Amino acid sequence: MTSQRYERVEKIGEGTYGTVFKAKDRETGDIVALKIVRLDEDDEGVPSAALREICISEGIETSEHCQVTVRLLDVLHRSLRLTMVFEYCDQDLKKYFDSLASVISQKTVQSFYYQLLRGLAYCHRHNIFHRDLKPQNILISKKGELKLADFGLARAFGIPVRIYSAEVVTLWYRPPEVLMGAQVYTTSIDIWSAGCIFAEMANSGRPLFPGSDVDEQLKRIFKLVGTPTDRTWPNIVRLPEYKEFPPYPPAPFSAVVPPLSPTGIDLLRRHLVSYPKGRITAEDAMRHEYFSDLDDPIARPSN
Amino acid sequence: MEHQTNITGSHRRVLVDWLAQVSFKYHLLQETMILTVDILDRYLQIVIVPKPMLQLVGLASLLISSKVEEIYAPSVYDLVYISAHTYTREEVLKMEKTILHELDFRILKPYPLHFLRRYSRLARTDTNIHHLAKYFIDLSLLETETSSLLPSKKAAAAFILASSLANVQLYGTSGKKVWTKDLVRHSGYNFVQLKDPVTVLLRAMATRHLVDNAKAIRERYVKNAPTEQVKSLIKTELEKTITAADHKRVISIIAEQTES
Repeated sequence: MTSQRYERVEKIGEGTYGTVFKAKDRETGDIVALKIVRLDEDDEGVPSAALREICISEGIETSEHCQVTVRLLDVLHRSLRLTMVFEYCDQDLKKYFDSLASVISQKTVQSFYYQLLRGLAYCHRHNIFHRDLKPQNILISKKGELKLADFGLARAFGIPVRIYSAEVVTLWYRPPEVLMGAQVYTTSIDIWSAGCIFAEMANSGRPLFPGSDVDEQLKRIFKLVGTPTDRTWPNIVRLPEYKEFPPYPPAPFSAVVPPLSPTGIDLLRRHLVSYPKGRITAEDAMRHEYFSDLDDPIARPSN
Repeated sequence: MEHQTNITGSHRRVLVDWLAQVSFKYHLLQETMILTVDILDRYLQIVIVPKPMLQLVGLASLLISSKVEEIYAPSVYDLVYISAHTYTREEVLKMEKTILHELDFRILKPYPLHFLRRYSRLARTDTNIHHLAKYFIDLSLLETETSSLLPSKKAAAAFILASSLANVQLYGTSGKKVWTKDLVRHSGYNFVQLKDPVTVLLRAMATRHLVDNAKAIRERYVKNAPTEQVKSLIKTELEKTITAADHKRVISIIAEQTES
């Protein structure tokens, strides 16, 4: 049936689970994205990541506001294949960075980041946290709209942080508490990732903390924000995988993200706080002075 | 449940207590158990299920809720095994698919537990009362009458009942206010609005069937009791105390302890 209604155009990529194709809906003529999960006969049925992603997308769609996340249009459940039909977006933020011929305009950064925060604020208000924010999961439509995608890791408690290989699970956007094995965490996990992406956008796609293993990841983080102590992060030593690091002093952010304006630096600093409770919320970040001169009609349609 | 021609409240009760037993055996979260019963009930509302298939619906509901809530869900093989191979793995997987399809993948929802945690925190409740309230929420899963209660109201009713009982039976502070102004403000419910949910929950607790069928749930809460006091309270089959009591009297006592 899938092949009858949706005509595959090309393979776009391999998701966390399942393969993603660009396809044409023969009934409407629309271009869509198909995420296809193979179900083996000796398997466990619908994979939990797919199940969570569908449930969360269905939940988000019952509310009127659905521009901030990629819309799930249909689910086809055949005996050996589960197909999720999503609206199609031309590219993701990672590809956008790769395609940049010169440096990104800071106006674009402002518009993109505002949209990212709006999407996050929306999810957080609905008690959903994404948990796996990274440029590959942020899609950009032709009109320059930015949408959150890939809710496969969203919501449930505790990421199984077993790292199979650096390619499979990227550590770059993980906050320190997750790297140190925290089991309980909140929406602040997404704020850390968002901050890393904000800096990466401002630097035209150069990742902020490109660590290769957990230790090096934490070292890179602490060299910028300073090594946390029991005073700046109460009970840090009780984290399951707590490890001592040299007491790095905080470094100036402006040296790391030179293109960002002083108000942008201030906003970034409020994201990248090691102590999870010290981080800004998405709602507050949207009201930050950095956005006071935002005039992109896509980012702020009412203005 | 009314339209179910083959399944009675008593079949459902037996199934839910068995599912509770399974969820304890596999150390599943209380959230998973609550979601399992919710999926089960919503499926039973739309599909007429022949009695021999009821357990299969329960198993598939448990599989779905585990995948949503747990880090490591029990395997399909585990579920086939604990049902003593009553069903094959193909049947379980097929039922999973049918349920997801019938419910249109709309299965996420807030749980009473989320609200209870908030109430307990606001009231700085001790572990005894919180434990009792959780116990009442789990017990209420056995009775269909309580499944239509809003999660926030069910949690409030369980909290009020647990606090009142603990104040009378454990602390000898029967006059103490239970549903305080703080709770009214933050929950958005005053006692008048909660009177019906409390009554529904009380009535459910007092059913004889529940007393007889809640074996696994009771055992679990006795085993995990934070203190000896609350352990013996649950052991004495607390529900029977409620059965014996005159509902109107209990309600009026609770009302006195509650600020509107």
